Amino acid sequence: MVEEEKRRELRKLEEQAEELVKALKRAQRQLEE
Amino acid sequence: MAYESKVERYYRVVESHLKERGLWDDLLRKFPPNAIRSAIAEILDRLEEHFVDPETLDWGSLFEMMVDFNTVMDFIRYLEKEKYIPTSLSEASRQAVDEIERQIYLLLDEARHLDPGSLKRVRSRVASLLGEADELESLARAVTSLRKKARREERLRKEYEAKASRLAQELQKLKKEAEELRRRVEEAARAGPPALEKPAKPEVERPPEEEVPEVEEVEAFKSILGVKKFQGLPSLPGVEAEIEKIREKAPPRVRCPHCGGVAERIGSLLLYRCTRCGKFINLR
Repeated sequence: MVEEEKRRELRKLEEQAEELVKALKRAQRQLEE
Repeated sequence: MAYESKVERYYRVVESHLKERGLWDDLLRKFPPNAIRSAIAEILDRLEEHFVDPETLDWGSLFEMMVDFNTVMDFIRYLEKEKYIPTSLSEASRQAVDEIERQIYLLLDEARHLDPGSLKRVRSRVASLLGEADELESLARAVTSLRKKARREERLRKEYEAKASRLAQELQKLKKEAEELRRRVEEAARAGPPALEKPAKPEVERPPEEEVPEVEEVEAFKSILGVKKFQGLPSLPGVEAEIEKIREKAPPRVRCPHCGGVAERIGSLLLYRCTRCGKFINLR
């Protein structure tokens, strides 16, 4: 049960991390223009 | 990318400086002209990013060093390291983003060992970071727009400066002219009023008196006009054409052989009528 919750949290965290990286790259591209 | 005309301008500055120092051929042996131009363009881009006036840079001295490097980027990095030129903002931000990305994935890897409660806390923290990232993006947009505005205003400022300078020169010129005029007026006032000259009476040009040919003897005048030789000939086209030529050159008035008055020509005929005695003179 705990393991299942942990996997779910980790997956959400991974998604957030990806979102964060994407947002940073968008901001950086914006600066380059 | 820096404007081509600007690149060309500083290329000439570098070329002229290095030629003076006898270093130009050495540089051309190592780098083709376009590589030198791309170095200039890169430097101009950096200066523009930081709103630094390119005129403040000692282009000639900097490019004396270029021959010591193997690539344009080596030369640029050296100038950047020695703080001759500012660092590239976009390059710095790219490196920072790469580093942040690396750190995020490292932390994610470490998070696999955490308990669900800690993971939830981390997620909450990342969520707030995401909000900040969004904010950062909108700030970046604002920076871009402000930068464009600043460039436009800088261009306008330069244009207005040039116009103001031209107007100041014009004003100076006009002031000098006004001063000169005032001086002349004062000189003229000191010299007193000029003696009035009686204006010369314009001569009325009288029309020359009209010369009216005398017709003392009608037959003789016919000979003068050339009518006589066509008299008695049938009215053939050739004869009429010649008579027509005579009509064209016949005078509009002749002196009346009867009373000495003036006889006016009637139409285009070779027939005149005296305005005094009313007699007809036929030259046909």
